[in-house]
Amino acid sequence: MSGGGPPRKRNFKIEAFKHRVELDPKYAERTWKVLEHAIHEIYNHNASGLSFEELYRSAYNMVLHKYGEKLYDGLQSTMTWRLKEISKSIETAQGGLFLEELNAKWMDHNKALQMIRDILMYMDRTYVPTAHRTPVHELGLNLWRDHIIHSPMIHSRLLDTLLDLIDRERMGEVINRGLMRSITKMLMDLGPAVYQDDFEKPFLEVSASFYSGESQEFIECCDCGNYLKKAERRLNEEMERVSHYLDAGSEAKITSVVEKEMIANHMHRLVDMENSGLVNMLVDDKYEDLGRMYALFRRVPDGLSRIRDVMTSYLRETGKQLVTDPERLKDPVEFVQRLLDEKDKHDKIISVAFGNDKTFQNALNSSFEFFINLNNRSPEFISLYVDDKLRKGLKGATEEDVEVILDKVMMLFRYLQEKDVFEKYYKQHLAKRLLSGKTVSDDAERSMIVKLKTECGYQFTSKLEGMFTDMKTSQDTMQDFYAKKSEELGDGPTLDVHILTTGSWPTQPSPPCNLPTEILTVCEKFRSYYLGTHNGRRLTWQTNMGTADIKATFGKGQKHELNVSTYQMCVLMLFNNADGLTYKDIERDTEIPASDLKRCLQSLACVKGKNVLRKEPMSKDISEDDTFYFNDKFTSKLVKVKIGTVVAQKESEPEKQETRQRVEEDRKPQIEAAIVRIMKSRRVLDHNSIVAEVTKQLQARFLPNPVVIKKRIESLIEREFLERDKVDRKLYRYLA
Amino acid sequence: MWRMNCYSSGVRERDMGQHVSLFLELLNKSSSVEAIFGAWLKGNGRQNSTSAKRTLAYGYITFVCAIMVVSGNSISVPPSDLGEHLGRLLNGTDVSFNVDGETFHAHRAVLAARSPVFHVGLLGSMAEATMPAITLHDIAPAVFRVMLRFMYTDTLPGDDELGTSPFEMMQHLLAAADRCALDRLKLLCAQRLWDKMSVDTVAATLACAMYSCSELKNKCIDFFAAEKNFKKAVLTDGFLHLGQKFPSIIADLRERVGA
Repeated sequence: MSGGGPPRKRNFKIEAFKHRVELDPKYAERTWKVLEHAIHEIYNHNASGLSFEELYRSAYNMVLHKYGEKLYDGLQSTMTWRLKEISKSIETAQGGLFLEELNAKWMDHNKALQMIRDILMYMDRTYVPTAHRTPVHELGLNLWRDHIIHSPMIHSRLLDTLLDLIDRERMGEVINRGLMRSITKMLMDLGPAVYQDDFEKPFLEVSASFYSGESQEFIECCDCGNYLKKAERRLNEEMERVSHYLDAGSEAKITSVVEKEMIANHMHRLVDMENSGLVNMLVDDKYEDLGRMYALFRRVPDGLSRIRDVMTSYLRETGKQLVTDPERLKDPVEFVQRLLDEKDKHDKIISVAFGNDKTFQNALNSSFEFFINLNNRSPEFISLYVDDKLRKGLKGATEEDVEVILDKVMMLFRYLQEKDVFEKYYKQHLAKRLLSGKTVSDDAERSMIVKLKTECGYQFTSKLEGMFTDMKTSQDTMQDFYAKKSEELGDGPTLDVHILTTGSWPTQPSPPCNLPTEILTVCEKFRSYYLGTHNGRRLTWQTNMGTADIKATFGKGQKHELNVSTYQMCVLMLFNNADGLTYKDIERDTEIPASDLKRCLQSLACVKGKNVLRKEPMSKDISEDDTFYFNDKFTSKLVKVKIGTVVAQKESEPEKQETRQRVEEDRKPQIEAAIVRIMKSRRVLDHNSIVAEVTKQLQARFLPNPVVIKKRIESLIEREFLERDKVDRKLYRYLA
Repeated sequence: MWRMNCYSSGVRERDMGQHVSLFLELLNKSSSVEAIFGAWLKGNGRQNSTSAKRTLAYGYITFVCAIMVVSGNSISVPPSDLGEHLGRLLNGTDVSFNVDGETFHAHRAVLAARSPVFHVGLLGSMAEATMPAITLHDIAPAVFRVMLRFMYTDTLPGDDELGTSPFEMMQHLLAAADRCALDRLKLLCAQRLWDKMSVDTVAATLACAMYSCSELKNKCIDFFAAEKNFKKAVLTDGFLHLGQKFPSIIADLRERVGA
């Protein structure tokens, strides 16, 4: 910037300050007239010809000389007059042009207001605050609101026009969204109260009745899936409407109207709809429909809990039917597979359609827990399933596949209430697998043990691990035995001994039968070898287990190798010295227990293709009067014939009873130990509390029966671990 | 990170083990740091000293070191030079002002940025927005010059550059700043006027501050009402004019004095 001429800064003189311009009332009036004229010119779109400097100065002078009030009042009445004229022109607009005219005039008013405020800036900054009057801009908006929007001729026509357009758009027509946007923005600029009272509230009411009607129509004619599609579409439409031409604050309000009318009001009817409701969707794996239902119901109170409840009762019903269906129970492996399939199916539904919602996962878990325990053979069956997999099912499977299957089984295991029953059966089945050498992979076995250990702790698996150790040790022992004693043994039968630590194995000991001489010799050699290196131990031959491979030559010289049980071997060896023997002979010579002997003879003489013995008479059952002969005429296509395998099967009724009894027996000391532990720390406790605490402590293994707990308490009182309180019969005291 | 290195038998061969050497080492790999460092021997209860004889206790000696980092790794930044740069702007002017015969050239954008009144006038939709030259009324060229300078540089010149009557200049400037909505300028003027406050000037100052600057007005009234000033101030010519022009002032004063 530059001043005019050379710098003369230091030499100028300034007059004493006084306000230059005097302003008397007549002068003030003239000044006002100038401004009034300017206001009209501005509204007439002639602003460009006006001198800002002059107008600003005029307003400045008026305010400075205390004519602020006159200026303000003049502004107010001029603008009011102007707006009344504008109102008339809007009212006379025809039909569709009404909204456009309103909008156009609003734009004009805004522009004019801006310029008027600019001219009157000094008044706005000084007079307005001190006199506590409404600032110019706000004044302009208020006047517009009062004389245009709230003018009787315009007010209802505006609302009706807006609502009509929205209705038409809902029915599929295309409307001028830009114009709508401008109008709603105008209402918001006039104040949220104006927007809400003069538009939003009626809009929401009208929308509610619109959707109430539409939802009624849809629900009569659509199935659940289609209804939900329509509801979703309407919801999205409304949100889009808001984003295009309504105020953002309306979104939550209109969506809750749609949610209420279309979803909440028909919630039960939708879920329970025949042939297309929730249960049908679950059965048919309709992921998309289920996902939509989840997303929509989530928006309404109790929506998700309704879905959850229906799903839970459906699961419990189906599960209950599954576990009590006698057809299904015939094949335990199939039974468990079916359970796993159901779990997988619903896991997938929850993951794909319900967004992995934890509450649904919990509902699934509690349902499974409920019905799995309805059948008290579930623990046994799950163990049988694992047995099947570890015997043959997982043959050729990769390490990952194995892990996946075992993990799924563990999931079912967790649902079991009677985990101790499972443990018993698992031990039995494992023992059979180990002893018969029929396991698909040692690593898979170990992996399962690790999982059980992680889930239940060390005590659960210590004996199982002991069994593995015994197998390995036996291997090493046999190697050593043959290394040291091979010359001594010469050409005798080959022995392979499994040395089982008593207590680790679930087998029932039984007295040994009479072994053939050849076998006895080599067995004794082994015994003395073993006891030589392991002082102080005792070995007992378990002749109710074990197998033998025998070479047999039949009538026409056919040689076969027979794989038989120990008992069967004892019986067959007798026929080296005799062609025919009676039942009683055999019984006396072998000393095999009667029931076992009968089974043994049945498998040797009465099974087609395996009848190496001939029985007279040729009946199906074994009686004590039967006689047996070596069957010269035995034939088989196979060189190696297997007779009598020890396969794990689901137990017969009496066996089952036996196992259950043993489980109950095992539980008694556990319950007692829990009671003692609790009483030791609490000293005095009432009956109900003891029952509750004991249940809590033992729930990881089984659910104790309160009657049994009571009996155990009584037993402990008898043995003077506890005493009853003399006054209160329900109170117990710990005796140190 | 700092480290004290202590060599109990000195560091140079020629010291022959008769000194203990202490070194302060900076472990960080940063460039340079200025620090003040002091070390002394801890005395046993008495004055700390640099003489070893007085500070040996039970065969032990204690060194105390203090480090004060003076300047770290910061980069120094000079203060704002915006006003300086704008003040030197000579080219690109797009408007000129006619003030009582004198012409001033300026940039619309700069003036519009500094004053809402100029903003509307120069960039709005009325005549001045498209007029190359604008006439300003009711303002003296000298005053306009100072105001214009302020709008570019954000500073006021000292009294020696304000002509023969800096006091009157301030008064005119105050009114002009108020009119053109230059609030900071207004307060700068008020400050200068207040600095020159005396029983002789209070009335005139009050007259100009009446409507333009309420802070100054209130201070003037307080000054007036102060015991030691009142009697003298009341007798000045300025006060007489004040009473005639602004009768309401008397009421304000009365209230303030508590009469």
